[in-house]
Amino acid sequence: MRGPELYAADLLPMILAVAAYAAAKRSTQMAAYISAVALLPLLVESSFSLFGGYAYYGSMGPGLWSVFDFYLEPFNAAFVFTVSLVGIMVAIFSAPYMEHRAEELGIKNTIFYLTYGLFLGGLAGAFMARNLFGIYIFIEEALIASLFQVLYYGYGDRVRITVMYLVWSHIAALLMLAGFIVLYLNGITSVPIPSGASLPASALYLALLLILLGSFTKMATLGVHMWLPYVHAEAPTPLSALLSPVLVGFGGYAIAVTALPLMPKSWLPALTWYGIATAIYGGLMAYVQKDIKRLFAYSTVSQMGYMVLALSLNNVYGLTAAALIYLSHGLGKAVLFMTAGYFIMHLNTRDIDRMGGLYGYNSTLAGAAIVGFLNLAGILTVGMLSEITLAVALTKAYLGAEYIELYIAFAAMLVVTGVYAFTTIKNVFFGPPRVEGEGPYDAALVAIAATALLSVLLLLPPMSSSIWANISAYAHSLVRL
Amino acid sequence: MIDPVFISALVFAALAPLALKLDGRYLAVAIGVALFAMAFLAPSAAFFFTLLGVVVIALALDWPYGGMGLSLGISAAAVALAAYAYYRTVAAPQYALSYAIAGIAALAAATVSIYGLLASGREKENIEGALKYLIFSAVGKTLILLGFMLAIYISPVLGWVLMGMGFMFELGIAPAHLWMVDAFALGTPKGVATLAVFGELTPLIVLLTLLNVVPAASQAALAFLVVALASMTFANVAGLTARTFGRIMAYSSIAHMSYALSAVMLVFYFGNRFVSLPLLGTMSAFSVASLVVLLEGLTSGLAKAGIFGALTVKHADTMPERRVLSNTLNVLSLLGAPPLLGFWPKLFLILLAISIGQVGVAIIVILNSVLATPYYLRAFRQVLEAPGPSADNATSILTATLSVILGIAAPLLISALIP
Amino acid sequence: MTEYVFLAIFLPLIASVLSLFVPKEKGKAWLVVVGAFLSAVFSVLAYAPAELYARTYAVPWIPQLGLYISVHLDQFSGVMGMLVSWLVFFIVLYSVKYMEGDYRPGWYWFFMGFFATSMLIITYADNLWFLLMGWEGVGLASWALIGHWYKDDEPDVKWVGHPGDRIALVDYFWPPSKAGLRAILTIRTGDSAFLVSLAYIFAALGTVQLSGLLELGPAVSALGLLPLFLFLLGPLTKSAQFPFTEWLLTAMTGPTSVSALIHAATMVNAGVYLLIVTAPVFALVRGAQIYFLAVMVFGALTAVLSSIIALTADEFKLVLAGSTAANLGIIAAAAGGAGLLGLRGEALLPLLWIAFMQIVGHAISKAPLFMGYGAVIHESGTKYLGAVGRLGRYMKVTAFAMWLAMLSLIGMPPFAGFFTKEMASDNIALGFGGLSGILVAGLIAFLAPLYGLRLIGLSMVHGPEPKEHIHEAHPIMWVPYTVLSLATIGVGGYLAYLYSDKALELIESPGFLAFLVGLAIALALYVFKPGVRSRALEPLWKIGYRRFYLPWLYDGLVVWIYHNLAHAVYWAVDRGVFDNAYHVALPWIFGRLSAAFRRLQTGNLSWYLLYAIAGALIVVLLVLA
Repeated sequence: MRGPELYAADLLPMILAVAAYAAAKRSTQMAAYISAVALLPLLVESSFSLFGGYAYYGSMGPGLWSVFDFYLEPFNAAFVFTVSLVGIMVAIFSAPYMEHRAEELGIKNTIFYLTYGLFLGGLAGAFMARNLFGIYIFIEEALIASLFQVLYYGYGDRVRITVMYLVWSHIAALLMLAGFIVLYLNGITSVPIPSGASLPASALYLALLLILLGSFTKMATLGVHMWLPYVHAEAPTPLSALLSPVLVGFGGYAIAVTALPLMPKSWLPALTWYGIATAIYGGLMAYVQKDIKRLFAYSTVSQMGYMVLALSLNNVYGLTAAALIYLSHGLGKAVLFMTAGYFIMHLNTRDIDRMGGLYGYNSTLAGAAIVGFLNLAGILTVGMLSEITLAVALTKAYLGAEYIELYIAFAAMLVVTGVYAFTTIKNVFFGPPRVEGEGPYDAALVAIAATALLSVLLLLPPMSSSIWANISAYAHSLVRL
Repeated sequence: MIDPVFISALVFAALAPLALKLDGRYLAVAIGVALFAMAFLAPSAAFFFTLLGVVVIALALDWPYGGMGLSLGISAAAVALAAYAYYRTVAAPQYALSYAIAGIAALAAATVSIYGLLASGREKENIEGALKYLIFSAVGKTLILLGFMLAIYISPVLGWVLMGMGFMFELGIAPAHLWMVDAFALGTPKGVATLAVFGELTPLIVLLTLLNVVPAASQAALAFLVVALASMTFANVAGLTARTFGRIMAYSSIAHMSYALSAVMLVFYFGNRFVSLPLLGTMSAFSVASLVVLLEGLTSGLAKAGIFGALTVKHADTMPERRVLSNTLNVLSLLGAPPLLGFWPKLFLILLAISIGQVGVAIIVILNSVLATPYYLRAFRQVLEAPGPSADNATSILTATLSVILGIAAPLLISALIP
Repeated sequence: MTEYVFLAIFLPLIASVLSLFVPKEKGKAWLVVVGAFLSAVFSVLAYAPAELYARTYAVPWIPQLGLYISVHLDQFSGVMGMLVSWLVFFIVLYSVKYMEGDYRPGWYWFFMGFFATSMLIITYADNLWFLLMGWEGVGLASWALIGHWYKDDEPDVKWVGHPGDRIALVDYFWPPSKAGLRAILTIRTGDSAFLVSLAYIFAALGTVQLSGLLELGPAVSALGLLPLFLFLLGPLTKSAQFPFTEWLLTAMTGPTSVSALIHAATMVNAGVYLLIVTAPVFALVRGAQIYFLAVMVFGALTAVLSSIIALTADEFKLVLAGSTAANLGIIAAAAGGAGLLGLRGEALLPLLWIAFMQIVGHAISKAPLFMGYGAVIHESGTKYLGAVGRLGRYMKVTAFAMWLAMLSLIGMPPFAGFFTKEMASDNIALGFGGLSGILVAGLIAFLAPLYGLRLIGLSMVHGPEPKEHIHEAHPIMWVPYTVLSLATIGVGGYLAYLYSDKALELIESPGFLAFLVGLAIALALYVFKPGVRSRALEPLWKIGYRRFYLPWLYDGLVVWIYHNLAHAVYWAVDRGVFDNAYHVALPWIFGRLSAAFRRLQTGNLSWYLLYAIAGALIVVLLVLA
């Protein structure tokens, strides 16, 4: 066995989930903090890789055991880092929120904290798994763990929503699995796929179509996005704060490591336009929403469009941008969903029409939420880094006056994002105050503000310098030559 | 040669009168322990002996059986016997014929005992459900026996047509599946639990045994492949709107049996050859198919034994009346969620289909496992939302644990199952 | 000296970040003031008159992306840096009193410091990505401070327009929250194109260092016009050039100190400043004359139209905002003209310097005007021109300062404005060339005294007697703007010394003639003989007053289209197609199918057997087939 530290870090959340389960019977806070602490080793290891540029490899043994092979290189460390960081923050946030929610429902939080660690451990495992089947196994584990949370602590018609979530996520995962199997039978067993690997055309097309369709469904891009607004809106908010930023982005990672290195170049322009279309569509739909959680859900659709666009550009910049978008969107969207959770907790509403002037309700919250939006809009947060990288990737891939329509579409995409971001800020935080009193300072607010602050700090050197250098160094291997 | 295992089986039969004196559950436990012990006598089938021994003990712990305890024991012993016969057939082909006959005999023994258990609630419905099982199963066995003889002595095609039909009856493949739904819905829970774990595993093992003796003719294999694929789709669609536990699980069983049947028929239609599979390495397609069959049988059987084992009512067509959380794992295993036990047979089936070059079959299987998700979720919810506080029973905990452990330690399990 | 530059740039930000943790308003305010003062001092220490981009310093940030923290010290950035940092200092000092007791001081003081740093980044940056950081920063600060009064209270002081005013279903009044949104969205539109252009430059040339680009020399020529025009959208929106002027006018909902600093003296100048400092590079691009011509035309158009808006507006700050836009137009046009002349073989840098000087001339005149009228609004409680008058009697110092600043603004000799504006007019006139040049420059010069003296005349000299007693402003307020307005004379004197040889030439120019005509009319109409009105001009006046109906276009049509498009797509496609297909049709089909399948389950054994036998027959058929 190699790399025991990787397994220890990934298993710890799952093992401590049981402790959190037991603790949740007595105290939600205790359970929340156990869940947060359980993710620390993962955060530390992924930080070493992401900031230090180290690579780690783990193996449980040969043969069928190779399903559990792990790797941690800066490229996937960016994803694992986001997962663990957001996981820790959301765990802290969940303490007051779940107490409130459980009280509302008259049940205990035990299931939430039992599945929390399993969900995050599974998700991190999916990003660290080398073997294609391993990826599938971990992502399904994450899906099933999160299912419990929707079912138990969700809102609205949560049973119907759970079915929707299960069915579509399952379809997505199975389609990916089918694609993986085709790859596997052609000798490609683990990620990252060495560039230059080749398959017979028919098998290649089949595998790529399956993986793309599965990943798109997971990412909820245009046309297969139908499940996301419902699920992310009705899930308990801490889960939404994890689903939206970290789970759906998995599809992008899957495309990056399994599909992109094999993809025929002729497919890429279509993918580019599809990404832009998704981003614009999601942004337009977000603008329409009155339910703040649905709004954020559509905004996720939009951001996944950015990610598809980044991937489709097939150069180091694009792949780096994809990882950075995952990071910036992850932090930003986590802040926003947690903010929505704060409103649910203290104002008992998700309806934007009933908000307005909330800056006065809690200015720290407002400031953090604005930073969250800036992450999405790519202004002076780590989101700006991803936006710049994306723009460079675009022009590196398509340079010349003949691509003017692409540039216009790209700019339109940024504008559409800006429109819903700033319109929402205005509708929620500015205008005549509609709410009396002052929002309390609790653990939830601390988590929100800390996440927002981190998303700003990550823009600054030397953090951003090392992130960018390390990710891009490892993204080289994923580019189709 | 007289096999020590057969002698032991005869000894069990001779113990029957004891059932009148002793509470059946002690008897069942005794048989369980004996099965456990026999694992040492028959190293090739040691895994099955151990597993069955443990399961039967767990089932015996859960209910008072009265005179029916012996039935439980016998049905378990029958599976063990069938498994033993299967492994012997592979190991000693010269005695294959006699072991095959022994397998069919074990199947008969299992059917009778399970009939008794299904009907043991003594209500009208119980008996009706049990009767339907008995009738279909009897027809099935007759066809199997007849077909087997035909296949050996006259024509493999004709023989396999009959045998295949027999297994359709026996396994509840649509359109001969209707008894299954009624038996699950109307039988007593303990009967259904044994039906699911022993009553389905036995015919599957016998199927493998017979295939080792007389390979299926390719024309027949095609027909049954088509039937199996249609049957799994039918079951999963029908399951979508099924509401009660008994019915959901019945459709699930039909689907699982169809997966198993399709695996072997796929191999015999497209020809057995060596395939190189990821994770497993190079092995004959038939071995992979056998693996799928055994794993499907184990998944379905263990999970359902756990699920029905938790019910304490008179017949199984009902909502669970207490919350047994370990059963959620059993449901997930049925759904095929990795890394639980139920994931592996589906994965190997898909791998097998693709490696043989039948992507279409793989896609049908994938679509089916998608189609099935909503009704498994319903079952899942019923388990969760049963009135609290949480209760636990031996079978459910055992099977849930087995689903997890066997799933995660799949590499070990597979080496134990491949003869 | 490099350290001085970095200190000058980052001290305000450091102060404003620290201010977030200071509980009391006073503490926050003085902390930022001290930061701004130190920054101003360091900007002087860092001043180094040198060739364009001559001295650059770079620290790698993300070298793979071409992103360096790099600054260049030269004549342009040195003067601009001093201008910005000293104006920041004066205005934050002024707002210590002006903003006293206002709500959310934390927000205000943070964004003031944050703005200063962002603006100084733009000023000194040699790397365009680094510049973009500042560029987004000033946009963000502008948005934040326009909407500073987020509660949308006190419409008479804090809004733009008359509450309740509507034209063809579109609201013609702008509360701060809405004005902020308009500003950021307009800027975002330009910035998106700007970002693409920078990426394009990096992808094509491998560097975004201005000095590096200049060194590339002829290699830049391959760039083509597309990135230039994408680039241009950034400065056009940021500097509120036509047709993006609207956001600047409604930006007057911000506190007056903000209007003075951001929307008059500095941030809006960032766009034209960038046009000036990039001109030497862009002049190398093939076809650059089209680009410069576009810059000049946009600028001239803005100058004329915004002057008309200033002339017809009925709010103090709106007049000043219109005049700001007009002056930005002059600067842009002068820069464009300089570029064109440069391409025709004249020395480019001196011509650009002329355009640049107008930034300085305008900033030091406009900032005191805003601060002074801020004091007026503060004291009188109204923002409407004509609601209060004869203030010269009550606010003597303020009135004096306003007169000085206004005369400089409109270009009266010997104030600073005279030299900078007249020289800029020359650039424009020569750039257009011939009669059209004279006409454009003349029109611009003619309009300035009209709107300028109208404002002064109707508020300081004439107009209705104030209803309440009005005091002179607090010294912390009047000292900064009086000092600045006196500076217009000082700078004017300095310029007179520098350009003594050209003074005569300037006075003889047609632009100055037009100015004199305008001045005469303005004095007559607004100072000596007020109250002359003409019915005939009313329709024309209305077009100007309604700001060429551009708000109707932006708040009405564009919003209507976007809003309804989004809603239509949502209901028709998202709900109509996707939701129905996936969540209604699909479940329905499977539900019906499933029910049909389950209907076989009759419970009747003989039927069961029948089905099974039918199945067996099918098998037989399949085998035989």
